[in-house]
Amino acid sequence: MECREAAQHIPSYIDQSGGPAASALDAHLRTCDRCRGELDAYRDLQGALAALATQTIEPPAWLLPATIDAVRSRVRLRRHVAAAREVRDRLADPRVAAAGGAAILLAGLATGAVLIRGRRRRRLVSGLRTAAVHA
Amino acid sequence: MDVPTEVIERCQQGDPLAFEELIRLSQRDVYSLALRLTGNPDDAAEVAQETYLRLLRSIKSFRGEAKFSTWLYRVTSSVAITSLRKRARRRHEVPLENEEWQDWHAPASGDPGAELDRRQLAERLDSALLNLPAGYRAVVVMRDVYGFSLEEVGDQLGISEGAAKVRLHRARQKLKEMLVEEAPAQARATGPGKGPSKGEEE
Repeated sequence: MECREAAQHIPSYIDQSGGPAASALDAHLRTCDRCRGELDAYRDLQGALAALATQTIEPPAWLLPATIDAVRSRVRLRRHVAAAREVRDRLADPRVAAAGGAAILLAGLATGAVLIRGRRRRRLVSGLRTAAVHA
Repeated sequence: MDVPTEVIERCQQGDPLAFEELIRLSQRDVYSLALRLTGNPDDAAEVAQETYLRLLRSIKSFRGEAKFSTWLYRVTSSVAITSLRKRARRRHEVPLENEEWQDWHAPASGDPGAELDRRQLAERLDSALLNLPAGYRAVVVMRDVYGFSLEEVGDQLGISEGAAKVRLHRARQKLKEMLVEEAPAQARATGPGKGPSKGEEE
């Protein structure tokens, strides 16, 4: 294996995932100081990248209160939505629907009864007036 | 990130104060990952906020099979990748799934004579990461910085595991171009054996 080819394989070689080129690269690395140096450079880079995870970056000061506000608003919204769903589910309950239907029917009957009674009373008054005129 | 189990359990029971505590304890880590993935402070702040709103819905599904930090990083990266996709569409940039960066060349970064202590290296690495195209940056940040598996990286980016692997290797090459090939100048400035790349001295 030539250095040019070795350079193509070194970035994957540091993962120790093997592969068909691994044994040829092993042999090349045993005899080539330059490519061993390349491999060391990639390992250093990999180590430095892994160390970055513990080195955090300071967020802007406004972000924490803004995030907490956003979360509180979302919690409130979820509560309202949950309450609205509860009302909708109650209305969708067949027993509640039957009770509502019965209530509407009773209200209708009561209104009808009142109207009929009023009509009869008006007819009676009208009849009495006519009788009085004839008399 | 150190979030006590008791805080997580209270969050799962719907305790809003515990959730605020969780935000306080983890926001710095979430923001750091978001910034490293998006490369933009405004986008990172938006991603951090959206991550917690998503967490509010999904925290009950955390079963403790993985570490909480690993789980939270997955949620964060998923939100960040969605944000990157939206940004790419909005600005007509190369989509994350594409491989159109073959001819991209790394800009020169940092002062080649600077001594590389750990903090400086971290800062230069972060700066180099910000200069990588989004698709390269995402794969190297998820895999090499935060230790995601290649399968997870592929899933998040919507590419195969093999494609994620190829992209990772290219991203490492680009990063090395930006950082490690400055070693000869550093070796001259700081003496032999102090640069990160011994091979470059030949």
